[in-house]
Amino acid sequence: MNSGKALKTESGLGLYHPLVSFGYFVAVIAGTLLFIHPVFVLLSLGCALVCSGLINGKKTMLATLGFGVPMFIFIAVANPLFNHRGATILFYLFDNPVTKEAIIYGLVSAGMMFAAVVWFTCYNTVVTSDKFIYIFGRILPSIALIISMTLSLIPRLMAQVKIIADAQRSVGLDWKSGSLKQRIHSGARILSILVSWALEDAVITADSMRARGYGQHRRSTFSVFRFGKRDAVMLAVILLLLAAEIFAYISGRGTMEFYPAMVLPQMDFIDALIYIAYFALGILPAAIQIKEDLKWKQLE
Amino acid sequence: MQKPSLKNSRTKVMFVLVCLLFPLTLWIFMATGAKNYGLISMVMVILAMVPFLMLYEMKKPQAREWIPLAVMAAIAAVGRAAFAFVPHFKPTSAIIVITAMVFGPEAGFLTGAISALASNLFFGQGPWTPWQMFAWGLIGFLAGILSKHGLLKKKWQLIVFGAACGYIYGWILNIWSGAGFVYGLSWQSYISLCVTSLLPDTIHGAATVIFLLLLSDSWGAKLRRVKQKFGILAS
Repeated sequence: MNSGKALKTESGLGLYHPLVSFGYFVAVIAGTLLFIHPVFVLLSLGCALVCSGLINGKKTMLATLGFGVPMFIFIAVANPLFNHRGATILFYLFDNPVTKEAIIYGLVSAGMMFAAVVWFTCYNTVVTSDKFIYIFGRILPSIALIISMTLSLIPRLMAQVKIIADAQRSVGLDWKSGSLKQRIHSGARILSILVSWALEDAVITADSMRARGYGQHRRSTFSVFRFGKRDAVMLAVILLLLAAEIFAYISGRGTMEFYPAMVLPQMDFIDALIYIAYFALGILPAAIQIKEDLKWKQLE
Repeated sequence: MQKPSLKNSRTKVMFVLVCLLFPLTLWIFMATGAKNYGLISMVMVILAMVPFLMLYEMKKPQAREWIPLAVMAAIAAVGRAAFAFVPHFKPTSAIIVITAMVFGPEAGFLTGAISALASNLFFGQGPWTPWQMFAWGLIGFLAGILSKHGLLKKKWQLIVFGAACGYIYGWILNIWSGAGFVYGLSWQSYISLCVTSLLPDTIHGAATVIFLLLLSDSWGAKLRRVKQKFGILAS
């Protein structure tokens, strides 16, 4: 929890300790991939879209839909074409049977993939790279540092590529013109110049790091996160809902038979409780977001 | 010699735990009769990567040893973005192979996995991220092992391996596509997926060959120079 810099730009769930937000997405994405069941998929997809709308903003949301909807259609169409199991044959396409079960299974698994993709876009907004590195820096410190260095190098390299490309263009080696072969040659040359520059730069960085005592002590992180009472409560809630998920999975309530014939889910009391728990888990970021937004409005 | 610190032994404990986790996960999925191959394969591919990363971690690498890898991973990621205008035509695999040829199999795995993770910040993270990390990591690992045994010295060997990279990458990612949506993942559906992806994989393989032929000599020399000049040892 870093309440000291509770800026409006940070999403509601992102205000919690990285362990909480990362744990949340592990739970919700695992649940999404775990339950091949129409009710669970609908709940997950619905919650994912609501959370994405509240957390990600319009532009990201539209980009997600622009990628997700075609993928949904592709999977939903591909499954009955690849898969000919199922008892209810609707019609024959190129001598292959197309079954009702395969169509419905295709819709369900397409919804599942769509939901997973939308959850990942929420993950990208909430668990920023410094939080990811904060978590993995405890288990794999060197590798977390390599990732962090790579991420910081990319924008620097991009800027350098622009400088090199401009210089190359001014000597008549523009990678944007000419035949494909020439363009590839020019592009490769730009990358080659980039390597010389970057490696030289890297060794200077390494020496500079050594001079400043890298490897002498435990590394500190850019952002300071404190695990407070609020985080403990939220983590406990997430774990409780995760336990309900695991119970649902082990007791076989989260799966459904599609082949050879579909067995429609018979809902009992426990099922209803599990659905409510699953919905609560999915809607959690949206609820926190709305709560934080209201608090923000009151303070204004 | 470094004294075994508390943190180092913690990494070792984690390593053993992960090795136990592998059969345990499989057993849980078997015992519950699970059929959601999407999740099983995802857990497996993540677990498969952890030992590689942990082995590297346990060696306590110095800054000089791994900073060139971060540079190469970043360049591979930038290269992927730079060539995004030609579909499936990317220099990433070639850059990973060249790095692995100079710095060895473990460094190759790391460079591949990290460049996939980092470049997906531009292309979008998703359920495919661990698969791309594993696929490119494996390409780096294989390149490192082959070159260690002197099997990537000749031009034709480089061409064959470069072309193979496109298919290795594509076929690993097809496992995910197959597990993701085809119920009861079967060999037939997997093979039909591989047939569908033949063209993209061939373009990827061709790109890898082209970039390997264009870059391997000059970049290899640059990397070897850095390695020799600053005393970075190959693993």
